[in-house]
Amino acid sequence: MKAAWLAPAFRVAENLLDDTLPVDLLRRFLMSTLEASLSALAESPPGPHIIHAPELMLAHRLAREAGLPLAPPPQVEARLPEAPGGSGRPPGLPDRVVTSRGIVLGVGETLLRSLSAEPGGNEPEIHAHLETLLRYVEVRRKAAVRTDPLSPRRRTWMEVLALAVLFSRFARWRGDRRFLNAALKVNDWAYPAHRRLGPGPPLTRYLLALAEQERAARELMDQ
Amino acid sequence: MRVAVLAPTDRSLYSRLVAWSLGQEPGVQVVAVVVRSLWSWKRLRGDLRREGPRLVRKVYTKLVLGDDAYADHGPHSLAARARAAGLPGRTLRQVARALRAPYLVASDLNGRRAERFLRGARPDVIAFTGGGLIRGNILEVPRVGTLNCHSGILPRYRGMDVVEWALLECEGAAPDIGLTLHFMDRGVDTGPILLHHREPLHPRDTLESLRARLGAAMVEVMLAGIRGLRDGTLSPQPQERSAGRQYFVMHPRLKAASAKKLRTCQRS
Repeated sequence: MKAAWLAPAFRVAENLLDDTLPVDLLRRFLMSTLEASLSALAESPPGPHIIHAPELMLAHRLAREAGLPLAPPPQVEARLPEAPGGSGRPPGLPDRVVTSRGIVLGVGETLLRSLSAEPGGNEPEIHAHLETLLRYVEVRRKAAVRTDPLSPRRRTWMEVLALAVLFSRFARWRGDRRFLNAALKVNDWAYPAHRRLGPGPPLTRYLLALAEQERAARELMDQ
Repeated sequence: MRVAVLAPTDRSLYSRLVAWSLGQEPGVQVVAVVVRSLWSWKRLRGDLRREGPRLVRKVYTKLVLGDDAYADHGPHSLAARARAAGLPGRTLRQVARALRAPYLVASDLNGRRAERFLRGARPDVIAFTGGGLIRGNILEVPRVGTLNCHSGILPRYRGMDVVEWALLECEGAAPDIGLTLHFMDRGVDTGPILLHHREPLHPRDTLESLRARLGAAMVEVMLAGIRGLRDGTLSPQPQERSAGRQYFVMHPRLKAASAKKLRTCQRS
């Protein structure tokens, strides 16, 4: 076949453009970073700086439910501040979810509360809204999650990752793999910005997004 | 019946075969061929944003390898059909010349130049064989409509990678894989349906062989649709918007799961 000798060059070009990450790399990152973050949490004195602790504990629980080989978490419950929304409920997410040119897309906390109240809830407005968010992320790809230069970068990534969490949860609750598909992409795009962060709310949010993704993947993909 | 053909590249084997086959069909005249220009910054940006790294593979397969990419796909492949049909040359320009059909390369299939050219040709039907989204100004040109052969069963599977999605979503039953010939409207794969073609799985199918077989079947489906319109034996059925879902480019992890599901479906 003529020109087949060009195949390696095209493969290199394809790999350079490919922003997806191997699943093993993400799982290793999730496990090692969860363990490190929880150890740091267990050793730190109680205080407002551990406001992200409930999210971290939830990420750990979900990662274990997803089948990742994690040791039980260190004893930190007695030192945690009161989790918002009562026990057993997922921690709150900010209301603003992904902004583009000042347009507010979606209402994270309200959506989540509605979905939590009735998992797989049938409100057509919520489904329509989530479809809009899905289409927005899938059509605009990375442009949909571009950080707003006027905002501190951490807060914008928090909103984007809240969206990834929402997508993974909705995928599970509705059995709709398209939302898991979008969550996988968003989490891949977020990796470079989070892989070197120290313990704190932004890293914890990313760990939660990954754990939610793995939990959904386990349920929807037999993995 | 006057038919215009829109194509994504001058070398698209599918486009060439559709144009050539239509030209051999009694009562059908190919009145215009419009090809989208490859060398446009706007196109590159748009394709890159939509396809991502898959664009590289597409460029390699369709432009660098060209017809050679289909060489190993067997007797039911596009290449085999092209040989059987006596397809001349290696470009749409050559096919258009052989059919004596006016030919245009346009940087934008929706642009004014393409629109003027098509309006001048007065087609009854436009056969869309790829090249991006088609906007209202072009959809209004043909007397009957613009036909597209979608690689999935509508209304259920709209959008991208629908072969893989149909495989991933089949639960026990045979996956609903096939083609839909439909008129294009302003939505994504939402226009009225002319006909379906369902493709059963073969025991040794891979995703690649399945797609190759569907690619070859697309020519027959497009021809069947145009014959049906010519003869008045087919009438379009509107789709219910809420009856389907829009699917998007599949993440490689889900794609691997889809390939695994193919093997499960083949065993059952």
